[in-house]
Amino acid sequence: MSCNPSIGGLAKSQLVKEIDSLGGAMGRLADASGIQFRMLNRGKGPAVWSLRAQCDRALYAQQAKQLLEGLPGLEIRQAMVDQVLWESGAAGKRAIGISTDTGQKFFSRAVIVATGTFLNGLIHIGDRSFPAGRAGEFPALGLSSSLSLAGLEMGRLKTGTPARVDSRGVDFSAMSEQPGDPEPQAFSTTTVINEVISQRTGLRRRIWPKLPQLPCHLTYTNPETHRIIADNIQLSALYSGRIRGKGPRYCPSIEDKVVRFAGREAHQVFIEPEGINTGELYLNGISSSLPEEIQERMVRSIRGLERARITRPGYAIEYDFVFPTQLYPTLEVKGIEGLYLAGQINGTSGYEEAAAQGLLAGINAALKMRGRPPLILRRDQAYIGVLIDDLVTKGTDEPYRMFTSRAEYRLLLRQDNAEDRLMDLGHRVGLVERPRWEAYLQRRDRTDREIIRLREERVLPGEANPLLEEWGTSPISQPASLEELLKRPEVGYQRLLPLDQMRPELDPLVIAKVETEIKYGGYTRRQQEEAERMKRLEEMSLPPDLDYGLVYGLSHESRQKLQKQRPLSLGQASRISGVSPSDIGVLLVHLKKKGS
Amino acid sequence: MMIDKDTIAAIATAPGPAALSIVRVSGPETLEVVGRVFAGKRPAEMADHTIHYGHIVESSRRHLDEVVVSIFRAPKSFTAEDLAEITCHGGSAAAPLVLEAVLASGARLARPGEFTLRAFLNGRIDLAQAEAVADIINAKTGAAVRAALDRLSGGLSRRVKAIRESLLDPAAQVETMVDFPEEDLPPDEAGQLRSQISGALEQVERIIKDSRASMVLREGARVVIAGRPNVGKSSLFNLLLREEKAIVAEQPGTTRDVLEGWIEVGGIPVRLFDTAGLRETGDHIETQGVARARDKLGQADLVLLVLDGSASIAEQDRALLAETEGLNRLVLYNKCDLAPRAPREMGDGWIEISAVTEQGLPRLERAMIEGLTGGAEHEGSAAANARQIEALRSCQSSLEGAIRGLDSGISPELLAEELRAAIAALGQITGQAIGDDVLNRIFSQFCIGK
Repeated sequence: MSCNPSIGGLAKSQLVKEIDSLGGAMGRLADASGIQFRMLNRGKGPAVWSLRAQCDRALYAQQAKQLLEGLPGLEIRQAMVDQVLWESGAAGKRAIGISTDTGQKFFSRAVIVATGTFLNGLIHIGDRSFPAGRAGEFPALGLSSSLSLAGLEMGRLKTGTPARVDSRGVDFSAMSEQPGDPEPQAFSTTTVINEVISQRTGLRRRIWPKLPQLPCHLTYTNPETHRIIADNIQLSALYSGRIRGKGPRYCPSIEDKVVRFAGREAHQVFIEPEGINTGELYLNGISSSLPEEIQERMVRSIRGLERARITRPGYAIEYDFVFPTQLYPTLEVKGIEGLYLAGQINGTSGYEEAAAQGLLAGINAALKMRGRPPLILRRDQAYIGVLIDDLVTKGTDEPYRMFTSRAEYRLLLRQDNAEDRLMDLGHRVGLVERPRWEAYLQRRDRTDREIIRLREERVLPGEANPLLEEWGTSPISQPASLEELLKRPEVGYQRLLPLDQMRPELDPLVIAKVETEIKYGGYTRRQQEEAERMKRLEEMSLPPDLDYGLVYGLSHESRQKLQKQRPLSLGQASRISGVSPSDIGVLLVHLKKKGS
Repeated sequence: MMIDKDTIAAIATAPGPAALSIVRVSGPETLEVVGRVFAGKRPAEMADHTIHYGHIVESSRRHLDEVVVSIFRAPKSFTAEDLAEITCHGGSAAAPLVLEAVLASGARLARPGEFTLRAFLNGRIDLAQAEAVADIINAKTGAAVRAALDRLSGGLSRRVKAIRESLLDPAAQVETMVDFPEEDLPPDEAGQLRSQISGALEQVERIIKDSRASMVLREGARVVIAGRPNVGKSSLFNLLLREEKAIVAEQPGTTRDVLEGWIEVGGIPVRLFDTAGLRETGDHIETQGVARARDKLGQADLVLLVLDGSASIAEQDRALLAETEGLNRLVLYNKCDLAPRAPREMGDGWIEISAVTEQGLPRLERAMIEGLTGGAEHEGSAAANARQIEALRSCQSSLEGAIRGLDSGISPELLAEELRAAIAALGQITGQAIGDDVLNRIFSQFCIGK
């Protein structure tokens, strides 16, 4: 974690849950190192609830390392890689391994490159700039030119990070406290939250989260802060013309906020702990590349930070990326067999986006070596599907971050049903082991049975109406099923207890899913039908070596675009800008002709 | 997309004057779709490859046209799917109404070449024919055709683009609530969201209305003469037609069936109907005539309600005035040559005429033109076709859903669904996908990001 010490948040928590359901580690690591958990968007519908954890930065890294070191069959080597090795054959290029800056070579059938911000990284603070991967680490210089030499088209992006301060100079009493949830939920369904302490009574005790939980704090910038920034704006690397990489619009520097939204008198600053064994704090909201002494003045102008000492200044970093439309949806590079790219190198930002790609690149490399068909997730199946499809089909020219608004099937891609969408696939590729898979099947079975029970269980107007009136919802005139009552916004599963004394004892995960399925019923059906129509196009594959010059009736523009992008399915082709529904019709006729 | 397995419909016969037109329906729900609009034998019970007489009815059960329906079950049909052909009256008015009813009952308008494409994909036609399909499909994007379409729909597309543009702000606002719950965002003061959405809704409704007017211009209008017996409906009919088509007699109830004829009013082709006098009667044949007259009233683009200006207003007149209240109508006081007195109790909004002396005729014609075009800006503005109207309707219903949702306080992610659907529907007309428009809006308007 080189940016803020937190995992999850809007759309990102959905990614984490998906990674977890496919057998990835991110959710487990966040659960084990979390020092604050908060469910965001609680006031809205469950489709957009999102969990966010503040993690202990050091502990997260340590847990990740331990997990890897414990994996049988995995050999770990650490070195600076400066070349991807490839050879040209009759069928094009093929990656055969890597070489390091010490001259060592490693040969393999697949290479996965995940470089973060290290690829040709260049840090800017004020008028100073120096090559680095992140603060205090070497950049990867040779690798970038090696990829470029292999024929990949590269671009440049920028991101930034704020200063960190020592908690000893911080006056928390001048800020508002932002505590975590009193009864937090976990990312991973493998995390055991409660332990049964008495088999006889079924009594449980909460045993998670294991670490002490810490609050964050909220304070604000003020006109004085903004004046300091405006007076020194020409000293910021961002405004002196030194930076050419494009930065993320959703994560602007404080310089950008002050310049672009000059009318605002205050911006939020979240003070986040870096961990339980350190007093360092992360000042979320004021990333900057002003000179150090100006950053110090700016920080000290903020309420509660008047006596704060900066331990590390904020900085902007530029790095290379590969235009991701050069990849297949498997994350394999078109034209270089066996070379896979994942994370920031593909133009994304964020840990969750990176982890999702890493997992899929790894799965696909392994599947390919075993001669099995690739795993490509559809847009209606997972945020991971939306992420990868956006990257390889539309491309990006700014750091790409996931938002729920990027998903056209947002109501289907919830964090509560990630298992239903993906665990089967995780199990089939061998990442979800049998006991976990069976526990899931049991949960699913309970969920289905409970929904049926609620549909069949009826209550009479006489028993229900006094309660319905108390809850401010209209009375019933005939017997109604519990399902019908649960559809009402005012009625929740827990609330229904007095009318439903015979209910079975259920896992909170099951209850949450039952409630969401029932409440969203009508809306999700509509999206499901739409998704089903689209799926037929996704399932019609286009050969990667199809000569679009020979397809009769394509428009000139789409012929060129298809030739360049080489989509793997008709669905993907339909999302390339400039390819019209008529072109899809023409391709369909062509495929059918070849097939018959 | 082209491989949808839904049920599609289109007019299969060439446009232009003809005795009969055919509306073709194909897909898995053909029988249900046709069943919902066909008053006659239930299609599910019809034997394969048989034809059946009946009526196409609208949702309000009003008869639209007299038709025969043929049923071809899969795989023994042109498309190898369940297929129905509805043979209706020719000319420009009947088939579009029948098609509209079929679309309203669950079918989707077929794209160019889609029946043939399905026939090909289902193995009904061979390769050479398939090449022709590509041509048909492709003709849509051919330069000449496209240019013609652009000319026709330029005004419409500009208007729709403006509405779509005006919906991006509320959409951005709602998406921001969903995606950035921790940001310091300005709250929706004074229900700005609601007024933006209802503003767009009004615009959409306006285009639908204007399109109706321009459809009237292109395809002709139905004008129905109605009134209680013996007020001179048939005299008026003959006068407008300039021909003695209807029998005129002193005796009430002379006209028992619906008569029709074509006239032109201010350049608009008008199909004029004379109907039986509307009254309760014991006469069986006349009762049927009255029922048909009522059917015709429902389909009219304009109703000419005739009252007897020489007599005082009868109870039956009042009933008719009430019955036609919601319709597009003109109230005529006939026989004004006999008793030139203005019935004050009716206020304004009526026209005095005499079918005998032709007094008031020019005024009537002007009022008919005004009534048929509704004062719409049809010069180079909206000329939405059935496909575009379908998209506008779906936009309309999503926006109505959004407003209902706002009023009942639904959760923002559900409100967002309605707005997305509305924007997507408009995009079907302008060819714009939702893409990053909304995200761009969010970042340009709100200071987002920690």
